[in-house]
Amino acid sequence: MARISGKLGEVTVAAAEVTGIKSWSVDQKVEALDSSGFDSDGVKAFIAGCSEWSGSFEGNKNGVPLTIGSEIALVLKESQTANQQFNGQAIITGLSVKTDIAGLVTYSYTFQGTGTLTIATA
Amino acid sequence: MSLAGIRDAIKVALENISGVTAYDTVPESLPSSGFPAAIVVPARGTYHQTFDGQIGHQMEIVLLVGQVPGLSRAAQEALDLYMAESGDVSVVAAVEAATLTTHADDIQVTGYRDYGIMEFNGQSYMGVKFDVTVWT
Repeated sequence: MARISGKLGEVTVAAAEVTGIKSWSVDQKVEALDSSGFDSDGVKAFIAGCSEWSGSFEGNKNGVPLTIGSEIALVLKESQTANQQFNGQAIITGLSVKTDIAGLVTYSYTFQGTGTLTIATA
Repeated sequence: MSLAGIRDAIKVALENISGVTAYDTVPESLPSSGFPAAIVVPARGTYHQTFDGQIGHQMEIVLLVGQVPGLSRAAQEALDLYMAESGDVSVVAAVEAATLTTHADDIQVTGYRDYGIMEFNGQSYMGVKFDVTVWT
């Protein structure tokens, strides 16, 4: 067990690094299905339903932006260690561009995972 | 991509301003015939701005137009022209047009400060400092 710095993180799309990126996040969630019945003695009960994952990544513009609506092989690396990464197929669902007179042009992407998310194992 | 390359690129850009003697490092002394003098000084830097290793540099350009005493109002008016956003002797225009090649992605003069009398090597000069941001 060890803490790690995010400074060597990375985002790749179709095995190519998206350069200029400085942060990413991924959120996993699962539906909680209400399974309460008369036999629940007045206390709600739930069972797990379908899970899904989505997230975002953002950073400085460095080339043309990714195309929204496309399904991509996405790898979100916590570090350059092989098993410190999350990967799966995802659809780029959004692109936000910010241009500021006092800074660099930035791109922010959102994505929706489709299928299984393979999570970090170390 | 190097700090030395960035300093040199800014120096070359400043030398495009007629009459300016530019230095990419702080000189040991300033010859009396070498004014206006512009000195490029790294001030601060930020590592790991992005995952692929971008660095942000905050640079200072110290512009000295002449030694004190002996300054005329004309010298101060000349300094105003160096501080303008545009024009033949604009520091902003010259530096933002710097040829950065592979050393940096972009450069911006964000402001000026400390207009007035400043000390260098035991002497008093009239000058101003420019803040410059460089993204690599």
